[in-house]
Amino acid sequence: MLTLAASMLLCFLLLWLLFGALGRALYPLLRDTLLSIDPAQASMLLLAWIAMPALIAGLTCAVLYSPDVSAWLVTGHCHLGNCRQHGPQSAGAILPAALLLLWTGLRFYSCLRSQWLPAHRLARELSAAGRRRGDYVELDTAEPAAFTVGWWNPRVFITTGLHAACSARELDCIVLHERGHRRRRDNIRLLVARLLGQPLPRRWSQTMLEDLKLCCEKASDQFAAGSVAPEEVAAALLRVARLQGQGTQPGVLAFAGSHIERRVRALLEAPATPLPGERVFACVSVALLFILAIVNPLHRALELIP
Amino acid sequence: MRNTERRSVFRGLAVASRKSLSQGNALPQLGELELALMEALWACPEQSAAGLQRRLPANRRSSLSTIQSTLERLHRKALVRRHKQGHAYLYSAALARPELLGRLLGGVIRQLHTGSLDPILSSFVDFAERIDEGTLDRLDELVRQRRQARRSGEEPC
Repeated sequence: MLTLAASMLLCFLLLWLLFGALGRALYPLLRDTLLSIDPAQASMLLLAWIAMPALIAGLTCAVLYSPDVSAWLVTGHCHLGNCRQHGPQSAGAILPAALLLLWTGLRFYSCLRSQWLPAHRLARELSAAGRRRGDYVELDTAEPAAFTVGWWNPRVFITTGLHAACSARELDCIVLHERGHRRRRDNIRLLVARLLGQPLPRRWSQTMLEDLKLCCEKASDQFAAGSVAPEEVAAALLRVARLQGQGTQPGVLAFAGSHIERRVRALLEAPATPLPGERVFACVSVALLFILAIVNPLHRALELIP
Repeated sequence: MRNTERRSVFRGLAVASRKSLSQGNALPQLGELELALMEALWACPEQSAAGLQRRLPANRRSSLSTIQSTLERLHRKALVRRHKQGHAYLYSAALARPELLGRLLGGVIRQLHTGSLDPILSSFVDFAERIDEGTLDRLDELVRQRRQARRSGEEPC
């Protein structure tokens, strides 16, 4: 039983790493398309892409170790006269599986410890510190800032400094944008993406996480632009960027294609069209066929582990 | 507040901040009950633990021993002062509400600037992001053109 559990676990974790590397290697081919489609759909697809290594590894393991399913996919063979359907097992898997499990567990724990509880505490303390104003909390500080904190029930915070410096219209845009984050549960979406990237080297998921964040911001901008004119949201963005002192002298810490620039351009251009459903269906079908095709060679390869 | 008391308050807050800094967050860590007790003390100073227990909102009410140990923690963090009257301690807040909350918000703003809060919140505009003035001006010009086009009912070129 222990051998079976360790073999399954090792298989799952190794496949997760392997598909993670594959996903990272293929991502540049998809990136431009993802960043050009509707941002709400792009953020869903990107999250699915980040979750794909774990999902495919789990599904492949389920198929590999289910005798009923593998009977159709694995060519018959016997081990020491035993010809029953079986999953690939190895006594040598116990130690590597335990080590990999420990490593993954520690990464998950450290990610949750540094993000889940501090966000709760921050939301609680800031709520106590601020004054409730409609659906946001005003924080009494001159620094101009607006942000959303929390996981299941995120709260919107806007500082007095920003409140005083912005017009009512700009403030509406900011509140609508933050309401978009709250409604879309963007914080939890980003946390899930970061958790799913934990077993893999950090650099593999960095670009994807940055892009996911940009898509979430663009989707919330779009949400705000559903109630006010898009150029008003863009103007509010630029106003807050200037207030927060983002503007630097040319050549000093400046780079083209920043999130602010991309968001403003996305708001001013014609709305991006969603990816047709047939293409998404085709991608899912290819992934399923891929899983079914690798079961037999994977079974044989895993049995080679001493 | 006397100078020596003030120094001890700031020393306490500094200790609390250092402890929390080591845990990746520069805020002085205050639990929900600690915050509720501070609120009760700001509303009505010079209270015994039993008096504070009665003043807490129903959803925060705890046993007397829990209140006492929480007050002890707040005292160690130098956020409350106490003096003995008869057999019981009387507590009062060592920091005024705006002072404590100012420090709390100051810590958050500092972390917003360094980007260390990025993983746990979504900002309207990231503090850590930099874009040059020329680009901001160009984008402002684009917004202005778009507004003009909308007003005149034309499509922007």
